[in-house]
Amino acid sequence: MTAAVFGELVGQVRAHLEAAAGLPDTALRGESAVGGAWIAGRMAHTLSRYVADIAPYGAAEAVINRHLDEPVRAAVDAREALRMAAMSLRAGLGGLRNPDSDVPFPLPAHLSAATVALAAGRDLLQTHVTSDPAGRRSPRSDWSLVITSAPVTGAILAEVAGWSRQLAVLTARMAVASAVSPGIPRRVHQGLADGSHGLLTACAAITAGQCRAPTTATDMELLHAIPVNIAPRRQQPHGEESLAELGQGIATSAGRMSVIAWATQGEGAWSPAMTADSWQWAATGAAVICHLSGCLLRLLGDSPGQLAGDPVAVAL
Amino acid sequence: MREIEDIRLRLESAGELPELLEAAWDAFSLMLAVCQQCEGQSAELFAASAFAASAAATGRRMLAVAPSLPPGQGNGTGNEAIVRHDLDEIGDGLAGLAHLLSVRLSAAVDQAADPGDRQVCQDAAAEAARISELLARERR
Repeated sequence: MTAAVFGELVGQVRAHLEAAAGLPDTALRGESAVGGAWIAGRMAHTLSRYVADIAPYGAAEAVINRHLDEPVRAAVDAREALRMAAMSLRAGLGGLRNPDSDVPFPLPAHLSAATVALAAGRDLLQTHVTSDPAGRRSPRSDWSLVITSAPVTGAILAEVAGWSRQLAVLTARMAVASAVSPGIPRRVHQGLADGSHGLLTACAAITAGQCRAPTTATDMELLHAIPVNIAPRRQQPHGEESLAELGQGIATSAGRMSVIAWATQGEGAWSPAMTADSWQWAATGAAVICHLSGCLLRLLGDSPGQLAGDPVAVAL
Repeated sequence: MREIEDIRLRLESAGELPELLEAAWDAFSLMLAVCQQCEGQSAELFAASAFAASAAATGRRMLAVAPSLPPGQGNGTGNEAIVRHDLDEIGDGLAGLAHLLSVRLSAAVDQAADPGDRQVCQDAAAEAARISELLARERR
């Protein structure tokens, strides 16, 4: 079983946003618009958190700090615009019941599913870093340097810009549709219109910031390939594995060790269990494992007839 | 092997704690040297020999800090044993020696007056028991 990758969650966000965009105007009115506005506010907030991970600077600092490059300044602007959008969408709903707990309408359902996938995507990226109580972040996997690289942060911002634009168009349609809905307070469609404006502003800020170094298809491909950083489930040997299963088991074990090595990196130096004797025992264990691996390879290499036709036998 | 038998006799006849610790030191040194030589002579015994050698080195290092160990004993680095006999026979001899060493050191725990000696005897006895278990014929 392979680990979930960021691209899978992007696909879910895209599919649900496109499904919501394909709904007729009649599906964007009344209670559906109220439920949709609640969830659109949550989605705008989640988008702002994606951008805040990349640009953790205050608005004033972004103005006066000369060392920040253009895409980062643009990201700060986008983050503020997304926060404003989230606030506007919520402000328009003051006093109204949030109907998303029992959503019978397709619009809130699609937006809710997109928001869940969006939050899961950010959680997936966050598995590669760890934060101390002071908020300082440090790497937790080999992928962490990829995630914080300029091409991948650019790709994340480009995705956020795309989602913001889609949500902006949708909330603008909801604003118009709810304006003619009887029983929907004026502040709801005003909040939707303001939210749409904030989302469009965020999209424009990111796009403008990236005009000199636009995201390429390769950058996007790299972003989508980022896997979740959790230790794969242990595969217990049962003694009757095929060569392919053994190879998969070795890869799984290596993946588990990689995750564990990063997770325990800071603990080694002062661990009371780390003594000269424990090192000697571990080194002996490593030597024995190497010896047994050598024995296995010799055994396999000396028995080509039993593995006739197998690519592994050819390689041996 | 004559060396194994010699150390066995010394362990059995050791009366005072310093004499026992001295014999124990030589026993661990002999086991370390023989196990290291066995590593290269038999693929089947490699794992058991390597782990037993590691345990012997640990046991000897523990003895080095025993307050009652005679001066000068903790400076030696090893024994120049030469393995020429049947490996199974040597394995049996070392397993028996390690068992005897474990029994004698365990018995010395209650007799030692110094707390440092007691701790060393207890820890080194555990290492000797581990060697005995590793080299037991049913494990090889």
